[in-house]
Amino acid sequence: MSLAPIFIGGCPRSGTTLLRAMLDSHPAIVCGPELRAFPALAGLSADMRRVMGATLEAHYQLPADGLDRIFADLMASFLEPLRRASGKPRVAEKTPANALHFAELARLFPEALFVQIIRDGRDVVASLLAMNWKDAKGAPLPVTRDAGAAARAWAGHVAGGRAAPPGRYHELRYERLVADPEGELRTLLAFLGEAWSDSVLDYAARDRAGEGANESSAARIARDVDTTAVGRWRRDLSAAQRRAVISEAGALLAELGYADHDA
Amino acid sequence: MTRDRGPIFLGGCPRSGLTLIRVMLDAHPRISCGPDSGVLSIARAARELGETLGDLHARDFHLPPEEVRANFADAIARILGARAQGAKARFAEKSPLNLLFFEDYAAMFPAARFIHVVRDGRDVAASLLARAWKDPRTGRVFEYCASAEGAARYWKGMVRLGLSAETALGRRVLRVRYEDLAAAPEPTLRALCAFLDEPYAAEMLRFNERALDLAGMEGESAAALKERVSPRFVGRHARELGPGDVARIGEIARDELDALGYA
Repeated sequence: MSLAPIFIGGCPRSGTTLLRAMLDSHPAIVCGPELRAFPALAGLSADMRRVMGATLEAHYQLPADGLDRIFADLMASFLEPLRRASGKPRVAEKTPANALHFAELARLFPEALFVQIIRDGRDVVASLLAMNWKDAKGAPLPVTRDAGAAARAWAGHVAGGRAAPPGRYHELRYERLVADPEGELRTLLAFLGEAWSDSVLDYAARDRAGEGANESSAARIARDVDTTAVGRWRRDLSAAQRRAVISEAGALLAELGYADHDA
Repeated sequence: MTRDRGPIFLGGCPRSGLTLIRVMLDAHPRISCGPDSGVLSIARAARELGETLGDLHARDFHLPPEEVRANFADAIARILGARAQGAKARFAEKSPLNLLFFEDYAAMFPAARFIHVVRDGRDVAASLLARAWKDPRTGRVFEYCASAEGAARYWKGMVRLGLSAETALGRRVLRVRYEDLAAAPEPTLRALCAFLDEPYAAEMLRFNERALDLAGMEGESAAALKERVSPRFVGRHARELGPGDVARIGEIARDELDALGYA
């Protein structure tokens, strides 16, 4: 029996942690904090197929689908202990950057389902610019310092997520999720083939002490959802930053309905 | 693969006899060794994930490091094992840069054995300079194929990697000199087989009578591998390089030439 995880992704600061906390509260689904392994492993799977695929097929009797299964099993091994320990039948994996690899993950896990949460790119940029994230050398990440880089990251995640096969892909908007969590979660759970459970609205009450050292919003999800963060870009982004965001992602913002008046 | 006879990993500077030894091993009735497989990128991913996320995975995902390591080892073993489809008892993997990952492989495969293939750096330089390998990203000839100094520095760097691995892994590594193989193939191969805990097989000397499935860069050795090993290429630098270049290589790589016993 092969694993059919639920993959959750989306640009950081789009509500991925909120979504994972909600789903983890469902009796049938376990979702740990960010594993952060699958972007690298999915990237490796695709690279190996591209660079070594012909050699592996001709010299190792290993066609592409055989290599796929090896990578899928490797990645499943990262989720199975969590799933087993939870006693729940289904496992979800939330790492924002998963969205960049939904197509590869869909190939490796033919039964998996994919969920992307999308938020107003302008608010995402404003939130990113307020983050204190650093790289391995201690230098601030460009997406936290440069509105254009942040906007490109946002657009890249949206596009990457949308490369998932249409029948297995579901999109949520952050703004709708915080305004009407029950409505959005009912739709999501129907997509996932799971029954409704009131517990998904109760996620803030769960004790998550010690979890999610990886997640910038760990503290935030201990509070109930609200709409206070929606539209923060109007306060937070300078005119120059707004221009950079429109330059990089204006078309996508408009397509998603985010390019209203004061753009 | 029996419990106490693990995989075999070969590494060393290109043009040192790696392909020669790997086709000899592949001719052994119990050993499968194909062209460079790319599994070292899996070893690299294992190392990076372990370094950055090992603690997190252990704590939040019930993934102790030894279990993660075993899962990566399985992926590598499945790729390498696919070649022989169960017809051979052991598999070996040859890639020059395996040297960088000998210690990672050693941790993943407690029974693994390692072969550091070495050759006189001046002959290696002569062989490299006879080629005009280009970097596919820039279209320019690699430094190590372009000048005696470049070749010497490259060889020096690779040998240092190998010596460092020999130090770290002690008796698990066998250093094999190309010149020994060329001058006295049977005793050298007998010693190699003893190190691998395998019976000697005369087929190893007759590798040239098989259809060789060379791939990629191995094609460079196709002509040479049509005949049995002999000392015909030993000392090629005296024929092919000017005394100035030979002296320069000797200066740059003096320590490594000494360490390997080359005058």
